[in-house]
Parts: sequence; C-alpha cells; structure tokens
Amino acid sequence: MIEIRDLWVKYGAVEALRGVTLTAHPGQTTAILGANGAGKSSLLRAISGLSPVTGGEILLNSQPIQSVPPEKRSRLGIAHAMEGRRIFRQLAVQENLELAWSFGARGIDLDAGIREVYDRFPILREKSATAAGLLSGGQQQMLILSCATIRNPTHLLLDEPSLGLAPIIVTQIYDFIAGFARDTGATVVIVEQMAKMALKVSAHGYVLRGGKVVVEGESRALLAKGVAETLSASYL
Amino acid sequence: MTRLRTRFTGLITHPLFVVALAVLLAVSAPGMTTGSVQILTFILINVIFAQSINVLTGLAGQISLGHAGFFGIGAYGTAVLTKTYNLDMIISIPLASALAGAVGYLLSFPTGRVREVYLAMMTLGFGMIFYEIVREWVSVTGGTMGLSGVSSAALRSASIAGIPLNQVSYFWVVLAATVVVVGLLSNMTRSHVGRALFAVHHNETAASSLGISNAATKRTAYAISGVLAGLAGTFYAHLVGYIGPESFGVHRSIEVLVISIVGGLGSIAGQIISAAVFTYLPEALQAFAEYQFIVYGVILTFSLIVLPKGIAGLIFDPPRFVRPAAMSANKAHASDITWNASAGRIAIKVEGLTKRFGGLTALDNVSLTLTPGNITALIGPNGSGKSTLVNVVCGIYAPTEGRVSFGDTVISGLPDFKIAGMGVVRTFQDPRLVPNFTVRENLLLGAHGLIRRSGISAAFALPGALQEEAAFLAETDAVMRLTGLSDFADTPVNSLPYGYRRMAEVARALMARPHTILLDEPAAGLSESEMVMLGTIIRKMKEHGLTIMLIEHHMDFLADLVDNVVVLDSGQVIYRGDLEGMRKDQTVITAYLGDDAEDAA
Repeated sequence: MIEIRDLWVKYGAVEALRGVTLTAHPGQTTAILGANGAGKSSLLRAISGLSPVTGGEILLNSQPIQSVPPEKRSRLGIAHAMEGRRIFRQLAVQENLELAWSFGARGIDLDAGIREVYDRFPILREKSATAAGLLSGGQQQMLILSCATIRNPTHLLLDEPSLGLAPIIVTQIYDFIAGFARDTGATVVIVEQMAKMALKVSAHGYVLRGGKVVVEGESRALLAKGVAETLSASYL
Repeated sequence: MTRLRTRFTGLITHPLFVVALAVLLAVSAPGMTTGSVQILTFILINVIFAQSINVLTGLAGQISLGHAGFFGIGAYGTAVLTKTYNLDMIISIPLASALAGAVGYLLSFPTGRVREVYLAMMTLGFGMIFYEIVREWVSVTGGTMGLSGVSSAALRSASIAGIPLNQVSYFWVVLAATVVVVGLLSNMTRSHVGRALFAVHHNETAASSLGISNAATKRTAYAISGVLAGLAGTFYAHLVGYIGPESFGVHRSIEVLVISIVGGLGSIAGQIISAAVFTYLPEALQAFAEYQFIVYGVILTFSLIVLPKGIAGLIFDPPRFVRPAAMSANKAHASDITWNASAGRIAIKVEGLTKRFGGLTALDNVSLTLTPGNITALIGPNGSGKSTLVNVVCGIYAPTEGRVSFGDTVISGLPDFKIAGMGVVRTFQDPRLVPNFTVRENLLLGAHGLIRRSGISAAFALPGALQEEAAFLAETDAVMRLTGLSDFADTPVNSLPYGYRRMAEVARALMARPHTILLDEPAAGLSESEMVMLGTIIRKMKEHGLTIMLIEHHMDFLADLVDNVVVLDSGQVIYRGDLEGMRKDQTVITAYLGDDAEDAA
C-alpha cells in the first residue's frame, strides 16, 4: 500500500506537486491522469525517490520512506518503469531482463520469469540476443515493462506504459497490468494519457492539475461520468 | 538568489563592463611592477588559450588532449617568421595563427570521425607528433635547444608595425586582442554558428535532420579553436623571447584543459576567471614551498567536487545562445509563419525499397507515394519497419535496394543533412531536442538552414546579421503561438514535461519551412486536449500545401485527419487505402488492431 499525504515537490523555484494526498491499495490499480505538466511523472518519481520532496509524507505499507534512498526503495519492492526508454542499450534483451531480475527483493525463478515474459511478448523471445538499443520503439517499451515486472515487485509504478505501442499490444498490456495487481496482490500505480483505457483497468482514479488533485473517485464512477467530463474538470 | 545571480551574470557579461574592466587594467598597468604586468599578460594569453578549448570542447563537445600543438604552431610560427624572415609581428602573428587554424581544419578530417576516448587518444597523438617534430627538425626549430632571441617585449626587442614595445605596451596589445576575441566569440556563440556547434555536441542525428552538416560544423570548430590557440602561442613567444619543446608538451595541453573545465565548459566568462585563478595560483602557492604542487593538486581535485559545473556553474546563469540585441530588434518585425512556397507540388516516391540489417530484413520491397499536399498515415505493429522507412527517406540509412525520389531527383543515398536542406524534415519518436537550449533556441536551430548571413557577419554583429536573426526570432514567436509553447519560450527543454517536448520538436521542424514533413508518433504522450491542438497544427500544415507523413497508433486521432493509410507488417505493405477500409481489413485487424481496437484507440 502506498499512502501519500500533503506531498510537495519542488525543482528550484518550480513547484511540481503542491500538496497531493492519495492512497493506492494492494491488489488494485490506481490511475493518475492529467495534462502534461500536471505533475504525474513527478509523483511517481517522488515515490521511487527520484524527485526532491520538500514537504509531506510517503508511506510504504505504513512506513515512512522519504529518507530511504532510491536504490533501497527498489529493494523494498518498488519497481518504476519510467518514460523515456531507460534500458541498457548495449546489453541484449535477455541481459536486460537478467539484470532487472537480479535486483529483485523477493527472488523468483529467473528462467520461469523470463519464460513468462517471452510468452507474453513473443517478439522479445525472437530478439532475446539482440542489443536492446536496436529494438523498435514499441519493442523497447515492452522490454521496459517486462524489466519492471520480472522481479515480482510489491509496488509497481508505470509511466505511460502504452506509449508508442500498437493498439493490439496496448490491449494486451492493459489486460496484463490489471491481472498483475489482482494475481500478485501488488499495488500498481499507472500514469497514462489514454484515460479511458486506464480507468477501465483501474479501481481508483485521480486527476492532477497544476500539482494538485482536482478530481478523484472510483474509476467506474469516473468512467460513468464520462472521460471527457472527468478530464475537463482538470483543464478548467 | 536566482534573481541575484541573473543580475550578476547580466552585469559581468555586459560589453560595457568588459570594456570598462579592460580600460581600468590598461590605465593602471604603467603604475604596476614589471612582474605584475608579466603575470597579467600571462593571464590574458591563458584566457585566449582557454577560449580555444571552450569553442572545441565546451561548445562542439570535441575533447582535445593535444592543444599545446596548436599553441606551439603559433609560437614557433611567429618566431621563425620574425627571426628568419624578418617579418613584422603585425604580419607574423596573423599568419602563424592562421597556420594553426589550417592545421586544426585538417586535423578535423580524421578526428571528426571518432568520439570520446578515441578522440582523446587521437588528439593526444597529434600533440605528441608536434612535440617530436619540434625536437627533431633542428634546422627550423632549434631542436631541444629551442629558439632563443625571439623578439620579446621583456627584452625590449619587439616592435609591432614598426612601433617598439615595452612590457606595458605589449600588455596593451595582448589586452586589446583579448577583448576583441572575447567580443567576437560572445557574438558568435549567440548566433546560428554557436547553436549549430552546441547542437552537434548534443545530438548529431538531430542536428543533421535540420540540415546541419556535422562534419562541416566540426571543421569550423577545429579551425576556430586552432586559430585561437595559435594566437595565444604567438603572444607567448613574444612575451618570453625563448621557446623550447618542453613548453609545448602534454602537460601544457592538460593544463589548459583543466583551466577550461574548472572555468565551466561553455561559459566564456568562466574561462576568463579560471585562467586568472590558475595562472596566479602557482605563484600564490609558492608559500607552500616543496608542497606547492601537492596543494595545487588537492585544490584541483576538490574544485570539481565542489563545482561540478565549474566556476561558471556556481556564479553565473547557464550561457544563452541568442543575443539580447536580436531579441529586442525582433519586436519590430511582424510575426507570422512563413510557409514553404513550393510546398504541395512534388511527390515523394518510394520504389521497391528494401533495407537489411545483417540478416534482418526491416523493409521488404516497399513502394508508396506521398501525394503532394496530402496526409498519409503510416501504421503497423511495433517493429514492422515504420521508423526504418522514415530513416531511409530522410537519409539516415541508405537503402539496400530500391530508391526514394523527390520529383525527378533521386534522394536515396544522399546524406541526411542534404535531404533536410531540400525541405524534407522529420521529427523523432523520442524527442531529440538540445536539452540545455530553451524552447526558443531549439526552434531557432530549426531555421539553421535558412540563415543566409555568414558566421563572420554574426561574429561582428553586423546589422544585416542582427536583422536576419530578429526576423527568425519573430517567426519563432509565431510558431510558438501556434504550438502553444509561448509560455515556455525561455524554459530549457530538459525541464519541460514530455508532451511539450514533443510539441517543441514539431515546432522546430516547422521552423525549417519544409515542403514535406515526416512525423514519427507525434501524439504519443500527449493529453487529449493537446492532441486536439496537434490535429489543428497538422491541418494547418496541409492548408499550406505541406506533404505530410504520420506514424501514429491513436486511431481516433487519425480519423478525420488523414487522406491515405499505408499499413506495414514485417517490412511489407499489407494495406493501402483509406482509414475506414483499413478498420475492416481482416489482415490489418489480425496484425495490428486486434479485436478490441475500439478501446485501444
């Protein structure tokens, strides 16, 4: 479980988050929506310890973690798939997966993990010996997602997992994300521009605007209200 | 604090401040001891030398461990010309500096092909070759004995244009030269030349996609850097009156690199401060007697820990790449977007294109035509070859078979910067902007190929160059308004959210006034309202006759926007036609859309 209370993040004079409070429950997916610059990525980065928190609290399973450095948070079970193709470009696909697995806190069988990844994305099996930098954009996105999940994290943070993916793969990835939270009991937080898709798979949704939560509620209710309606509240 | 620093930067880098400081130094020099004047002259020589590193490493990103070679060419050049050929310093100094520049230009041909450690080794090799030549070519250089009796201000044997020089008047000459060099560099950095150098430093692919030739830009950097190092060398020779090989070894190259790095790469003012500190420091440390160099080393080690971005990073704002004068002149211009007048006339034809990477066939016999003035969507599964196709059309890859033509001209096989120069411009899937540039500076970079005034007229800040820059700045304003970026004009792009970076790249491509634009997933990462804006921008491009190719996965975004659709799968065209037909095409559904296509879009 991730609990955030009155969180402030500042980069120099720029306030990225201005008092955000939210809770993400285990076994569920929580969607963070909002326009570019609303503070969505900063929120995920604050949870994983990569952005400067200037106020408020972040609790991981009720333990405050602000003073824990990012690499230790990773050991505590947080996996963060960031935007911007952060993979080891010179390493082969399989080496990337092995590396990601070796940082896992709860050991799972490597071979089984890799097999599972390859079953999910057969193209990665075909490319297992290819340098990750030579993959197409969408294939890199699949690899990033797989690196985040192969260590079986208890807390999974995904920044725009659908970016650059073909519709058929997007559907598949979202099915997987929803299933991951349900099956492993992990706490999943996704940042997504495809609001409709994100609300469909999530239990709870938050809309950020200017670093603040402007709308929150059960995803089903937000969907019922209409995606455009929900989001437009954030663009007022 | 930030505002204070901005004001301080504005003051220190103001031309009036620089001139006032120079006048103050010039006026007070006659009252100083000869020792002090000598040190001040050494400082100025190191200032010019450090600027030479700053152009090459700080701006263009090319590291050099052999700069003492250029310094030496200047020193030996002027020494031989004055001693053996009895030339006046007013001729020998420019000649020797030009010689160093020419050597730099030639060196750029091999070094321009390599990077990082390989580049460091190659330049180290250059420095060592120079050192050995000086030691062995005894008849010209005096070998290990060196050349003594070089006309020198300290020995009162020097004169320039027939006027005899003493130490003070020599100091004035060097001071005047330094002020001119700093002034020219400051103008040049904040013009299209400086922006191109910095763009090549940060992303060669992106630079050439805007029509900037990486090789030519590096040649310019090496030539300018060579001239400056040579100039510093000539002043050094006539200051000390004796030159020997030991003054031009590797330690000298390292020393100036250290001055430049600690000063803050990219900052002209930082170089000046650092040159002053590091020239004076050894003198000041003499109090430590035999521990002098240990203390020096300790200071050096810790200075980069305390000042990761150098002295300039601590006390100054990051350097900017647009002149304030051009910014204020820009207000006089009517700001409107200028569209390409020849847009919509000529089609791009791709015929039988195959691209193989080793055993992998990324494109397999692809043929398609981009109808002038139409919007063509290129879609397909991940890894189907869409980006590869764009890369071949833009000249990043040469095709294995087949060809791409633009009207009657075959463009496949041409280098990317030439194709961009012909008006075919693209954006990248992952935005490739110059991270330290502001949005405005990135957009100006897009107009690089349209700038007609020379770098020299920019360095001298001639009115024509200033007006041209102002006109493009006005156009930048108009493009930023169209793309919703006006509020971020002066924000460095590395602190912009992802979606705005994407928009900035589209805006930058527009600045190049293309007739054909290839957009690689422009809507990825955009919010719904931003997508609406992007749609408006693309329609506007079409209105002005642009030929547009669009790689995109958002079907809702493509609906109502595109004229034709081409679907690729495994490098082959599996569908050609309109969007409606595509949605119903069973092959496309199986390969790409999936059954839940509605949700995904």
